[in-house]
Amino acid sequence: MTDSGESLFQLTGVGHSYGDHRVLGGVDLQIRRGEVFVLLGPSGCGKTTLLKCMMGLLRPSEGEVVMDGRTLSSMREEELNVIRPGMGMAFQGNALFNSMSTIENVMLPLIECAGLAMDEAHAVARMKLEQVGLLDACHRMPSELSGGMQKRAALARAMALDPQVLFLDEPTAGLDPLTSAEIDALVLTLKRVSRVTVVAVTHDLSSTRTIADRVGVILDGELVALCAPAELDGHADARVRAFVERRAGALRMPEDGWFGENGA
Amino acid sequence: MLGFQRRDEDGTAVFRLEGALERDAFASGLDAAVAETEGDIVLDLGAVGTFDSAGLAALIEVARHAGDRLRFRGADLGLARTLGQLRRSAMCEEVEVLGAHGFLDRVGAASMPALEAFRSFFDLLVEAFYWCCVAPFQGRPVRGDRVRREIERTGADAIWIISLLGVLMGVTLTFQASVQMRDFGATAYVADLVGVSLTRVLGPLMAAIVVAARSGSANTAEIGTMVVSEEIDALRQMGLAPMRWLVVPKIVALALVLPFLGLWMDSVGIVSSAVIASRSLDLPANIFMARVASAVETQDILIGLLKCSVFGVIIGTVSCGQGLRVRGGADEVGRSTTSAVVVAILLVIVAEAFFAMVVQS
Repeated sequence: MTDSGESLFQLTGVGHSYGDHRVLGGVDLQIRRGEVFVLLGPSGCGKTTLLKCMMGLLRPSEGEVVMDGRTLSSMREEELNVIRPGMGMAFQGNALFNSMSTIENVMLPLIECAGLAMDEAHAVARMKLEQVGLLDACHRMPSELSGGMQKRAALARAMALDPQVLFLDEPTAGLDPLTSAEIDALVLTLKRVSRVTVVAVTHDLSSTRTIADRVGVILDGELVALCAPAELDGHADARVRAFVERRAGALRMPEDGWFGENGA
Repeated sequence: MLGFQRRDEDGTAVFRLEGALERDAFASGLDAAVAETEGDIVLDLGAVGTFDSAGLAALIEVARHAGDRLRFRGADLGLARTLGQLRRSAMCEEVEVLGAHGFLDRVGAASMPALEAFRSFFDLLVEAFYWCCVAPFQGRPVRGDRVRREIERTGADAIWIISLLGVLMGVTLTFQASVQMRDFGATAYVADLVGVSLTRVLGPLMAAIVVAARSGSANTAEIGTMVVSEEIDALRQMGLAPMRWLVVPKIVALALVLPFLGLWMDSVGIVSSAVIASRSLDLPANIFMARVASAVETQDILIGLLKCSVFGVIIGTVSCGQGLRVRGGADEVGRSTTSAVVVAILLVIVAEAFFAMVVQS
């Protein structure tokens, strides 16, 4: 990373509430250009809400989000629409358009946002699908793809416009460990090849250790830790240690087996 | 088997529950006994032995019906913890809401979603107007390719069902009218009645109802599913405004295609009526058509077409708006779809009544 110190995102006191329910409170955060930043936390802690605030899909109830010197949180929808093609997003549920084939999904932003002609968009989409190893399945419908393949297709679509930042919402959720490892490797490859800044939210500790340059831990809507992945174990904050131990413990089989059969 | 005994303590009715709190608690009569009791109520759980989910559900039902007059006491640690956990849930909050608020609060709370839905319908209408009438002059035209696709889906694909209904409407009207007219020896006027009623009211209205049920429901289900599966967010993330890309083409297509469907239903209805009249009423088809031509004025047809366009805008706005309002999962998509069809048909009939008043005056 040549310019690892330069800040791409600057979040100041970002909070969000759904009605009376406050899910995110006062997050201060900087994300550097070119890094892989992972927001780690349990389900329902406000990670995805923070991600959507960063992309301008949600307007934060308080605080401001600044990207490259532009305050996203106070922009109108039309102004955001101009910026958004510079951000790629792979959604948790993949959000592939079911009425379109895989390659048409990737072509959509190329045609609609970049204004490419059909044959140009087709060529670029084929290249993107080849990057994620999905060229053979490019004419299949999303419903005919496996979970891992859908994640790859969503990544290809997110990378279609060569964004400067790539957002990943739970990139390994619902995948088996081998497929998760493949997705992690793919994210690292994309980052190395495209020099894209990656912001991922996940509750997957193993994936975090593999891909992250820095980690932010969110618990109950609060950013409680900001550190390198190696510093998660034995972190000064007891809540972070407890979360990491719980996640690590969840992956280990209890001594008496999952159903107590060893001790019976 | 759960049993209970009632006694009074300083004006408070205390029900002491005994035995296992299990499924048969629903049949214990506790609910009815508590419902008949006025004033504060205490359920003493000190003598409750084992309990399961069905027994707890029965207990929570009793508490829900009694409202905030009811308190628990004497539960053992396991039962107390479970009840404590449930007290934080929505089920027990509902107990407090029902007990604490009066009739007007509840009427108000029930009206708010309807007011909110009306406001969002109006907002969407204004936004659709902007995208149809203002944005094209700012270099953002209505997407012709999307409109064509929607016209095919909502118009061309609906021709057969509209034709069938047109035939049935024509046949029904002819037979019903002939029964009344025959007594007066005025069967020739069946043609006037069928022609005028179809072109002025029934053709546009029935076409709109069919389209609301067929395309309105499809619009809500499609957009609602896209909301649930984050496809709408994906569109927004790509910088594509869902209004321009998804909603406005559907509304424009409905406004354009419904007049043609209404006109088609009028035509099919009149032709089928002419055929039936020539066979059953000895009214030759050429005379029937001549009477229709003299009875139906150009103004009737034009008003019918205008009504159809307005109905199309109503159906499109309601169905897309309900789709965009979906939150949650598949069950919410189903509920919104049902609601969209009901509200769209209701508003179409209200608009029809409005047109009738305006034309009459």
